Parts: sequence; structure tokens; C-alpha cells
Amino acid sequence: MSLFREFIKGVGSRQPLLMLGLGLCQALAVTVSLEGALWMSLAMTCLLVAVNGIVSLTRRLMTPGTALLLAVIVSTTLATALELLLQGYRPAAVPLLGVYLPLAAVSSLVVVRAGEYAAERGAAASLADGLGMGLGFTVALVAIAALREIVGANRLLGYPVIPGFEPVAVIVSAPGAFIVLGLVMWAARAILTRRGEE
Amino acid sequence: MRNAVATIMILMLAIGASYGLLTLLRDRNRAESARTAAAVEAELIRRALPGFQATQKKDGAGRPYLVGLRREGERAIRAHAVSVTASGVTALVGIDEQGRVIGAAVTLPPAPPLAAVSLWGALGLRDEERPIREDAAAWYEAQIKALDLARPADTAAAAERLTAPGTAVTLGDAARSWCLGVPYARQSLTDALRETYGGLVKHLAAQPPAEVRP
Repeated sequence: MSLFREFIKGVGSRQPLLMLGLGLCQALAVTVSLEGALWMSLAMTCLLVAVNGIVSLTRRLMTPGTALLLAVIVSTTLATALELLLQGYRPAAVPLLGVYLPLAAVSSLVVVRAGEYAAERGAAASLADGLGMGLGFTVALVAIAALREIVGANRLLGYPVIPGFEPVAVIVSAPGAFIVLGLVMWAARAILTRRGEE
Repeated sequence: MRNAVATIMILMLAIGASYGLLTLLRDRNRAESARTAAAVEAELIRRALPGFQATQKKDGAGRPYLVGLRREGERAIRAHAVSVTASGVTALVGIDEQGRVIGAAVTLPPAPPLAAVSLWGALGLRDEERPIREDAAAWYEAQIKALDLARPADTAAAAERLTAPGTAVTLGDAARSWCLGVPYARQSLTDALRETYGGLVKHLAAQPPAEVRP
């Protein structure tokens, strides 16, 4: 499989959030606003690329089955480092992410990609996979967050969107997250499955 | 066996690198936070009391408990007064011939009132009225007593002078937008100065400066 296909599968048939159901916790928690979703997507992409890269590079040196241990050490370190960097340079973004940034270290998306993919493949393919999965996660998170922010608050990145539109407050609440995620997941699966059949 | 050793070494390396990176970032954040807070406080004092230099001592929680102010380029004090506010803030304020505040030493709870005397000495002011020494507790107590009695009637008039546009009026909002410890310090300081200055004006009006001496 070419590197490009490794990369692009994360946006298509192997879309991590909408097709594989990975990273649901973050998708439900930080999609109240588009800004939070963008920061989380950036963090997850960094984590995926770094963890995949390191696990893949050390896979021949490590005893079989210990890749996950290394993946968790690397991902917890990077997640904490990202949180500290945000506290230092973008303190306003920290409350948007809450505990979900440190929790991203043990997100199913990071752990599964490192343990099931990067631990058995070369560095280039693993990096492409991490980048593609990160991009796929970003696309899904941005779609969900934009929908929730527009419908639930009639705003996008804090700016008003539709004059006179009465926001549907339930969409920015926890049940609203499940509803929007379900709808987006259904739509994405319908589109991607049909495309796969064709 | 070789793989097991390599695994252990890689894991130890990862843990070591993790510790180093996170320590570095934490130290950097702490230093940056302290630098920003200091700069913010200096700026707030500059805005609130233009022309003053400030020194502060803080407790473990980062709240100032001793605040010293001295007008830039000036040291000579003609008269001074002391005041204790209802909230327990103690202040020593010194004025010059024109009645301008030249220096102030403020203690915030839980610092003891006498701590203001130590700070007063450290400000480098030339107090022509009477050098305040740390052993002047009796004099100090008398001053507190006298000014507490005189204070209420003059606070409003003194506050009016000290809250002219551009001085302390906008402090609350400005401080709130920065950091938690600052509003407390600024408000206490402003209150203390208002009350102390009020007490000082009243005291000097009641009797000539020479008679203020105990």
C-alpha cells in the first residue's frame, strides 16, 4: 500500500471517529465550540504522529507486546507537555479542553493505532497513518463542533452566524453531543459505504 | 535476552526524557507566570499611583502582605501618619510640604501592624518629622489610637482626592482581568491610602506638624 493510501484511508474508509468509533470521548466532550475542537484535533494529530513514529522506530528493539507500554509513556508525556505549552502560550484554550487533553494520552485512538498498526509497520507508513488518522479525526471533530456551535448557540468561533435564528440549546448540552455525533456518523457511514460499493 | 535489555533501556530513556521535558516546561511556565505577574502588578501600581515605585513581599499563596511605595526621585517626608482600617490593613503614609504622598508602607492581614515600621525604614525615606524605629511601638500605638478616633469624618474627603480620574478608580476592573492576587492587593492598598491620607489630613489640620510628635 502506498504512503498516500496509508495517509488518505484515515479520511475515508478507516475514518477513526465516524467509521472505527475511536476517540469518542473527545468528540463528545470538546465539540461544544469549534475552537476547542480545533485545539483538540491539533493535539490528537501531534500525539498520533509522535506515538506512531516512536513505536514504529523502536519496534524491532522491543520485546513483543511491550509497544503499548512505550506508547503510553510517550503519549502521556506529550499530552502533558501539550497542556503545559497551552498553559504557557494559549491559556484561554485550556478551559475549553479541560481534562480531555490529558485524557487524550490514553485515548483509544492513540492506543489502538500504536498497538495495532505502528507496532507492526515501518516508520514512514506509521507516520502517514498517524497524520491521516489525525486529519480524519480533525475533519469529523470540526464538522460536529461547527454543527453544534451553529445550531446550539448561533455562533461560530464566537461570532454570530444567522441573524434572527433562535439557538436550540439542547445541542450544546451533553445529550446534544450524542444526537449530533449520531447524525454525523450516520451521514458519514452512508456516504463512505456507498462510495466503497461503487 | 537482548530484546529485553533493549526494551528496559528504551523505557528508561523514555521515562527520563519525559521527566526532563516536563520539568523544563513546568519551570518555564512558572518563571513566565511569575515574570508576567510581577510586570502586571508593576503596571497596575504605575497606573493606579502614577510616579510611585513599589516593593512587595508575598506569602506562600502569592498574596502581598507588605507593600511599600515611594514617589520616584523623592525621599523627604515632612510628616507621617498611621492608620488601621476596619479590615485590618495598616498603613504608614508620609507627605511633603505640599501635602503630596511621598511614601507609604502598607501591611495586609495577617501581617502584624508593626511590620509596616520595618518596611518604612527599608524604603529609604528621609523622615524629617521623626525617624520611625522598630522599637517605637508605644508611639505607634498612640498614633493608631489617635487616628482611629479621627478617621471616619475625613475618609471621604481624602478618598475624593485620591480617586481623581486616572488614579485608582479603574483599578478593580483592570486588576480582575489579570490575576487573582492583585485585586486584593490593589484594593487594600487603595483603601489603606485613602483612610491613612484622610487621617493624616485631619491630624495635620488639627495641629501644626511640629506638635504631631509624641
